[in-house]
Amino acid sequence: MSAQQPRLSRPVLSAAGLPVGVETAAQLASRSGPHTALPVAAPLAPLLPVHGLERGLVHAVRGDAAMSLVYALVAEATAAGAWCAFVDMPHAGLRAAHEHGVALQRTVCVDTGRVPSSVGAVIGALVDGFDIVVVGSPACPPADARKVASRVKAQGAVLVVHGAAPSFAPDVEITGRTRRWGFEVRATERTVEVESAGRRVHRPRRVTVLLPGPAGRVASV
Amino acid sequence: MRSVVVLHPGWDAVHGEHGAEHSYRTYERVVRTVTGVSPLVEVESAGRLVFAARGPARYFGGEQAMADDVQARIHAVGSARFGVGIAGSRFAAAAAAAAAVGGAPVIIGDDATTPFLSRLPVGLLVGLADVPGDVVDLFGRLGLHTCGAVAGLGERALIERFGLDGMRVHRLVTGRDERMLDPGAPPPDIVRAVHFDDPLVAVHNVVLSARACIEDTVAAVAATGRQCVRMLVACETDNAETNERIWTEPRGFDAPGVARRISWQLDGWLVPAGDRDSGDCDSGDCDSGDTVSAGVTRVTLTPLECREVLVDQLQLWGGNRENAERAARAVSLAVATGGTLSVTVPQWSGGRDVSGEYERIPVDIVDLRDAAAAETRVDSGRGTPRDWRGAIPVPSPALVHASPRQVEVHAADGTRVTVTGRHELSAVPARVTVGEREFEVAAHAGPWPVEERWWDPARRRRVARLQVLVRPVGSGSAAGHVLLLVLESGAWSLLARYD
Repeated sequence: MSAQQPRLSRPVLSAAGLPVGVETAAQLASRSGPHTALPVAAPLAPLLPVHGLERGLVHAVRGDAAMSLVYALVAEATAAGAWCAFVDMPHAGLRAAHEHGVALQRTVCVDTGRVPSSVGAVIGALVDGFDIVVVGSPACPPADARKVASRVKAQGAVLVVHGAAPSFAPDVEITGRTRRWGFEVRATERTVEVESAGRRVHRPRRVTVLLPGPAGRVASV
Repeated sequence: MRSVVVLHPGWDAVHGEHGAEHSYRTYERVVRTVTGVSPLVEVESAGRLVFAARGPARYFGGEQAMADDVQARIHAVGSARFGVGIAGSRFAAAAAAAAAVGGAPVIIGDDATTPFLSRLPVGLLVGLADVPGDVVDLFGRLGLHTCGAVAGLGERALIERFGLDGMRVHRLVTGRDERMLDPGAPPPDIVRAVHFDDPLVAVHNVVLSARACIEDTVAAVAATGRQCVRMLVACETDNAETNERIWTEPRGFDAPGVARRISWQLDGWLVPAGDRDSGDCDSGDCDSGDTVSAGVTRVTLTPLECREVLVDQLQLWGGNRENAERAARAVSLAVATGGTLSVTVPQWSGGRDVSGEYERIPVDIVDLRDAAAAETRVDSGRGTPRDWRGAIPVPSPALVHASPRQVEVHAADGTRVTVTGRHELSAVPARVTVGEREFEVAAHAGPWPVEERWWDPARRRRVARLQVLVRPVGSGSAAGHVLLLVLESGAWSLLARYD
């Protein structure tokens, strides 16, 4: 099964969105440059300047649909072969993650015990090997957060911060707002307005999606 | 050496639907039964075990009596399709066991072993001894249809043409196969033990605490330029009860591989005090002699057989191998960084609980680089919640509270809402209070009842789940939150949120 999946060497997508299999030394040097990104589901792609999760950047996910939004953002990349670590998210609903399309066979859950002095070091170690590191409310000193951010940049990983993280300065902020719940007989689908902003997003971008949609995954309205 | 082989043909096909892990764990029941006859049993694979005939045969007053006893014991744990074979070599015993499937034990005397072997078809080498299929194919095309004909080629010719495989085939067909490879090389004098001051009763804890010892053993073997293919794992409790087992791994043991074997071996033997008298043993043979009275205090690892390191073909190709290697390295690096770190991977375990469907198991007992094992572990594409009666319908809540907090559910007239014995709500819920915040209920679904272990008064559990769409009182907005509430022993709590 894994043999048929596209091999995920860095970078995954060129600026034109085409898979790139071979890297030159120059490409290797510019791994964290603006043109390398991990794929995201089509309904969410317009939110992001490069239509994917740009490597080397810190993404913050907020709002009242944040958890589902995290799954929807990382699902496509993990399905393509990227490894993902959920750090300090004991409340992550793994069945929901599976329904959103997250490849749980390439997912690892890490619990740091939330010791502020060591959280930064653990995240730092994980970004060396994982393509995506999702952290729940990291409480580390700002100096450690800056170190983590520069390590993310150097390694070309994607850091996703969920919940309150005052010490991290995100490059991209993605906020979800619930507009309506579809509730016939039981909760079926939800309309969410998602907005992205931040220093890497020159003009705020907005899409309205179903999160989750009828099939459990994110879908266009 | 007289060997006894117990063979369950097709065990993997029947029990391996959830992967090798599951297949080994279910086989453990058979292995434990056989340890009543011979304390030291070697598990060659799930469905095939071997032990030495001499000691037990003397105790039972003959091989026939022992074989009958083994047969009766395995019948008692509910297995039907299996065979017991005894012969002068391992391979001959396995062939005898294959012939005995479904019938009486087959015993091949020492004098009869060589003629018996020489009449066996070469195809058995694939199924019973894991000789590569193309080697056996070639024998067929050379007109060598029996093991006797292959033995006639002579050791030198076999080694020249087939290398290590040829050497092994020669040992098998001539009945000199006590060890898989390299019988000339004495096992290296490497024994590692770890002692726990506090007896450990949880399997996970034993594996975690033995981690350094496991890595040390594997590293010590690696330092000799070889890899271990057979290992004796011995566990000892405070009350001097022991559990010994020989494990075989033809591709060579790595540290997670040893950790997995220890966890299979201890599962079921090491039962926490509270669960000991539960109804898990359906056939009633799990008497007190089968489990232990204390925690594990000592684990000893003895590599019994090593061989030169062969290049593992799997590492040369395979899609996401490189990504997996990087992830596995990062995990060990992170573990080295943080003292209180716990790293887990999801494992599908089914069930109706939103929190229990994916169990988080310690990363130490899995091999992150094994993509096939990972696929079966999470069971992707299978086990949709609909398959379980009473499961929460799709979509599932994105946020599951680790420790649910108490909430209040009231009807419009102010009475508390409960669930009747017929799984119906006592009134239509109108208000939900979470801590200080009050919400009005716009819609609700359920209740979805779960009755677990209703046959066991001590452990029975009866809960009802209720899905509600709520809005803050007086907000008037069309949005809102969907919550999953659970009623257990008369109290409502907030189980999960559709975040």
